[in-house]
Amino acid sequence: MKKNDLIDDWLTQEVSPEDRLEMERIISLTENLEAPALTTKEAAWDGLMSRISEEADDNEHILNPTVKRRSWIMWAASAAAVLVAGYFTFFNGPDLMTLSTDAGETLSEVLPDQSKVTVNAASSISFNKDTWDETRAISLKGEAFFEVTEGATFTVSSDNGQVTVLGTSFNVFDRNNQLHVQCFTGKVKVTAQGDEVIITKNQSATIDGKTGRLVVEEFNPQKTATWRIGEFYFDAVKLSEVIEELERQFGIEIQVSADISNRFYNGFFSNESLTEALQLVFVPMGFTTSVNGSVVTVE
Amino acid sequence: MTLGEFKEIFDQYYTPIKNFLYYKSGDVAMAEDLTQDVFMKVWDKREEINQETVKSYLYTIANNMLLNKLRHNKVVMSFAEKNKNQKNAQSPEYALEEKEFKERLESTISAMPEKQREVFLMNRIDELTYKEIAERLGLSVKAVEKRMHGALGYLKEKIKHKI
Repeated sequence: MKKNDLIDDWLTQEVSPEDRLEMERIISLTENLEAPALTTKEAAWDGLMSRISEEADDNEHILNPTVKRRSWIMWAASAAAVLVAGYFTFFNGPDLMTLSTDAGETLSEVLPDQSKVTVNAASSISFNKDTWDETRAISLKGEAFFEVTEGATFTVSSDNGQVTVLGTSFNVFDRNNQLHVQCFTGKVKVTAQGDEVIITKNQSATIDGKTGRLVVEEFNPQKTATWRIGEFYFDAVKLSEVIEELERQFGIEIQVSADISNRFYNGFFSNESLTEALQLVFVPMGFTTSVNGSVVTVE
Repeated sequence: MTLGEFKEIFDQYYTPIKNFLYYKSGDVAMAEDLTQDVFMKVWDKREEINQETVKSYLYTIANNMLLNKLRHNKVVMSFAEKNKNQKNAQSPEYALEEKEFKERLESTISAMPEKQREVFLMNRIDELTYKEIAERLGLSVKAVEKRMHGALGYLKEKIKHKI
């Protein structure tokens, strides 16, 4: 019999020998009982898994029902370092697909033509699913990396410009009146403010802040658009822009009391550790930081 | 929470949660359905759930889900017996007497107040210690002891009246 003080006490209580025998019988019988079951635990688990995948199918509007994609469950099970989050929503009718991310999230998806898009934090893309076969047109807010399969013209429209390609991989950054397009393979046509350039592998097109014209430069592909692996390289970039990227990657607010309008940052941070990232950015610039919840104060 | 971690929680708590719902309702089909609902809820909330508090969370959800169901007028419990083969050697008379005794015990447990019954059976059937029961139900160990006392007192009273 299982050791149990209360039960032992109970069994030693002064009762008639007959009652005592009954009590012992009850105790030994209860020990030997099992709650009934209609289904096995394994069957219950299988049932649960099919409910979970049904729910995932309902909630996650699929970009292309015929494309085999990682199921929601697999995402959860994978030990990917990148937080896979974000959501699809319908608006303006059922044909417009939107994919959005919050701060601190990146999201990868396969488009109906097997092209791949990876959306950086605090960004969104949308496209019309119905006309996708004829016109591969995406509108973008924020930053995204595209790997486009060959086919009809693929167009990414953003607030400050338009990128047109046939089949290539490229990154588009369009925030705060800035546009940076980096071409990784193939050819990309960038149109902005009446200007048009064609860039090829390892070339970037940027709107020049002073002239408003598109400037073509070479870039190092090892250090560009590396946000997809959680790494951020900066080469003489305005500190305020680096701060915005930190805010987007960590979902924090950074308050700076000093005037940083003329400060530029050369360096790197990773979105794995906020403490480390803050040190990498602010210590070389001679600032101290203090973290209070989701607010970081820089002095 | 990864799928692997979720599976671990399921493996550890599926049976105790299902039993808990059964002890409270006496309805095994409903207990099994609700147990699935409980784990669905845990999966849906997996980003918010803290691994350390998951067990009391499981029992809280189970309890709430049961409260949302219609109240059962009469709980009728019946249990299976472990190690049944040991009884094969018994005489038919003895087996019949045992069967009757078990039935009387089942009806007594069915009539027991719910709070006493769930604690008593969690201890006797799921072999949980008072401390474990207290953690799962969000009670103090004293409160669990009190309920056990109540359950044992109830059984003793019934014995006096020959159950």
